[in-house]
Amino acid sequence: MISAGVTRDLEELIGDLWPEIYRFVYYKVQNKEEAEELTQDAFKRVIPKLQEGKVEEGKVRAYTFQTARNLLKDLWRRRGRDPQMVDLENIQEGGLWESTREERQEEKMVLEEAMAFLSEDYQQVINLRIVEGYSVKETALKMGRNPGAIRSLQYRALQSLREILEERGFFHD
Amino acid sequence: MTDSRKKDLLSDFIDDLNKERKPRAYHTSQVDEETEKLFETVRAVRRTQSTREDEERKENSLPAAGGGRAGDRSQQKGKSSLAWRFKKSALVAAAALIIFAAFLGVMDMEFLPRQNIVHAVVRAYEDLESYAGTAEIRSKSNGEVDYQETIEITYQKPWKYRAVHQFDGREVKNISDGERLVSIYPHDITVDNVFPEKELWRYHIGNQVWELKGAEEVRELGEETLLDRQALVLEYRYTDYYHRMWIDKETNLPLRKELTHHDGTSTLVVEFKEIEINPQVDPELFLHEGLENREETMILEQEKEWEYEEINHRGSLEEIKTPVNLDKLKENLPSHFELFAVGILEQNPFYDYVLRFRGEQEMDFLDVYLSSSPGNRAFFSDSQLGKLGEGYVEVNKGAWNVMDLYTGNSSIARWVTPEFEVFLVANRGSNLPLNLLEKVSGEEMEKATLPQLKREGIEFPVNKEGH
Repeated sequence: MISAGVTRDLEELIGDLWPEIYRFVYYKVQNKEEAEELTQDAFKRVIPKLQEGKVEEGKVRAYTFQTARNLLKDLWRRRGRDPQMVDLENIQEGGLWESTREERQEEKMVLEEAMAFLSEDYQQVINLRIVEGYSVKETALKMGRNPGAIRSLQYRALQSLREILEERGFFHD
Repeated sequence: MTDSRKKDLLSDFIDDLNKERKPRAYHTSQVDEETEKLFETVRAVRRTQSTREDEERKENSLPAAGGGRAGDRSQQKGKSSLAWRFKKSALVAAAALIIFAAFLGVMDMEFLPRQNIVHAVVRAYEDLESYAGTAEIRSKSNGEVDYQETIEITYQKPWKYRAVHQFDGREVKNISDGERLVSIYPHDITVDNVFPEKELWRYHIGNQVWELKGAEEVRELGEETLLDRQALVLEYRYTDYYHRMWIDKETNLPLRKELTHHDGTSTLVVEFKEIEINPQVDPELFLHEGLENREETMILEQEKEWEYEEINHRGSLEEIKTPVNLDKLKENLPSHFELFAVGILEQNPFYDYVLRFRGEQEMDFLDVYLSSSPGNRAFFSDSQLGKLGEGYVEVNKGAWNVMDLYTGNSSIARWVTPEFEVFLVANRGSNLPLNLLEKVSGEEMEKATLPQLKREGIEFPVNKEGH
């Protein structure tokens, strides 16, 4: 964790920012382990810059968000997705979390619209497995099928959903 | 990837997110684009839920526990309901709003899919089946060439190659049929039955692509003409060094790679002077069986001072004598890893056996070395230590030039107990080595420092120079 050379003000600032950055990263990766690692990595990069006074006071929050976002891009690139480098010089205060609120709402709407096109079986298996978090075995019991059939059903359901989303230009950073 | 494998991968991914842990799918192999999109679909479904929870939290003015989702998804069972069916009119209005926003250019342009050069290079290499050409390795020091080697190479996936090296007035041939490597030197022939790929690393296109894919930063510098081809010049940072790579704009594959030392005095260049992608390849080029009729073996028979040596013999799992639970190890391997070779290491000073596993991608691997006589070994720089079972573990996700066999960075985990030593090597950054050791031992590693472990009476190797 962060400790050496961190002043009280800086510690306070980090304490305030940490939950926000974590929430932003979690939103993207959807699991605690990766979100914690990436948040920590983001602060590891930002803290030396703050200590050296290289970030303007009014831009600290935006700079940290942007660093987290760039780390996510690095991660996606390693996973064969589409990395785009961001110019850290041109960051405006206000952060990315706020600026993406609208985007999040749009994503939600596009997704819900796409889900409506799926059959009831497909909707049910996605809901039980992903939204409710049931295991394959539990989902199989609830839907009166065997686990193998559930794995196939969820695969087909998500493929259908992916295709609908792709038609709508959904996949991006 | 088979459909069955994709289904398993997807199911495991959902389970991992539900348990709030890092997806196993990324631990050992590159996930293909289609599967990544399925994964992103799963994340998006979860996100709609978290957006809803955020809104509810906001309404209740409750801070997020840990800044994110409160507790595991599994703890929320039964609390959520199907919430997918919006009223048709609302959906139409929403869709119209989005389309209108996009039309006006209001939406972030990142919403649109883009092509990325690293991804394009990786894809181009995935599509490649073979290549043939002449590579040159050139080292310059203070402006003067101090080493030069040319290699006539014909390569076919996976790991079949015939390479004729010319350097310092000498010729060396390396011929691999994908299973074993025959190296023909001026005065001797060496056959390695377990590590056929080991002579490829300095110039192989696959290694260059892998390195670019693993780079921490990539920057486009511009375009240049190289060997009458239009090339995109990239600068990338890999293991703290900046490299430049020239990518053929027609094939999206590397033509040249350049590494300049920090002080600017020395440069290493690997360049393809000629290259043909996916040529027709005569399969006999890689066959060792034909060697007895070839010139080099005839010379071998005439001149008695030639030496023939076989190293690292192939064996079977039944031949391995070890207290390590290999069944447990195999059970916990990702299902796309397959046993490629069991090596009996008669001449290795540290280990008796190696089990070699390969993943789906050409460069995915896991090698498991076993020894029944644990010895003193020095640690890799920046390793994490810990306690596991009756012994200690060394973990390092970026160990450098392991055993001089794994060039560059690899992920390692070494478990040493009074009875045995197991040493796992996998792709850089992989969590697989430690995860497997924890599964085999049935315990989780307890992080500890050297003094802490010593206080517990665990015997430790001493640091040796040069390791």
